[in-house]
Amino acid sequence: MKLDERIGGVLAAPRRTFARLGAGEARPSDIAWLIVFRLVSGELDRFARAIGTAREWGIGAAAQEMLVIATAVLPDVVAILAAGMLLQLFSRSKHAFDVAAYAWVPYLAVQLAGALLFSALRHSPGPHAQTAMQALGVAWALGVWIVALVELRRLPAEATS
Amino acid sequence: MSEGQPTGAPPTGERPRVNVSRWVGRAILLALFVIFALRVWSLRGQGLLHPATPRGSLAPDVAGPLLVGDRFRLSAERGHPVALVFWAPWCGPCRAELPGVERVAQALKASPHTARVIAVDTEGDRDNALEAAAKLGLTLPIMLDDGRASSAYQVTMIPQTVIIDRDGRIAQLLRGGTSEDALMRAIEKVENP
Repeated sequence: MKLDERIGGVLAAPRRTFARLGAGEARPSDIAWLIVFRLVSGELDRFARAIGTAREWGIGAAAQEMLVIATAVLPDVVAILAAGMLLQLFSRSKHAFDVAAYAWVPYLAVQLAGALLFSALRHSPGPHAQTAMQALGVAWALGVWIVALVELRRLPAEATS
Repeated sequence: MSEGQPTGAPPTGERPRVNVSRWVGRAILLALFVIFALRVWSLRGQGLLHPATPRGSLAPDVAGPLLVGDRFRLSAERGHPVALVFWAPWCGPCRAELPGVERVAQALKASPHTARVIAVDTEGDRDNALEAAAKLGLTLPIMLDDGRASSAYQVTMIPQTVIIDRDGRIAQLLRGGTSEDALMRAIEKVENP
């Protein structure tokens, strides 16, 4: 499977995709790159300010600002790690962490769809819309994580260890 | 959405099936790129590569109620240096830094110093500020910020100290926890340029 198929398959064909990811086709770098790209595109204005800060107040001040910016994806990273630990615990697969990271893709898809929608509407999402997007993203990711768990447990032991 | 579309070449005479997974994946990658491009477009010409608080620029005027006393207005302090220490009661590093800031504020009351230190509570909750001030033994002026001061100085992390010279221009920016000595040195440097 190629990158686009691995990512899209989580949404379009989760059972088949997780079966193949669990058999060793998962690539941890897929999700790492998606998180980095999401951070850069989502926090672009703060990155730009950090560059301005570096010019005016030095690298140390900018580095501190960069650390603060990086915390924007901290909940996502913590959730992925927690999902990986639980998947490892219940499936005993050596690919559990790699596979669990793909369960974050539905959450990303909802956030992207919301960002595009509100960009088209030319206004920022209100608190209710933000909560709804969060809830939908988390629920979909949880559902996909359960599919991943079922598929990993279904795989023969030699495929996962 | 159906599952199980094969990825290999279709048998001869059969219409090629669309690989939905690949197209969904491409749509996600495209959406990421489009959002990135939209952000770049919206940020064009906003001057974000220049910080809101460049050294030597006129410090934005800020005003707000004091925890004890009336109101504070930065523009009324023109003629002597001012150190604005941005903090919040829930912030651990701020609570560690503030006793030292308090000692600096007390030391500055004596001649020949002219500078003043103002703690700007970015949370703006009077009860929480009173509780923290009592626990930390703070007597320096504490301004309750409704968000406008933090926004004007683009405070993205606390503690953060902005030192303003006697002409009302930004002279120094101290990010993160600052030691008592470092704060005093920075203020004295502005008092005696």
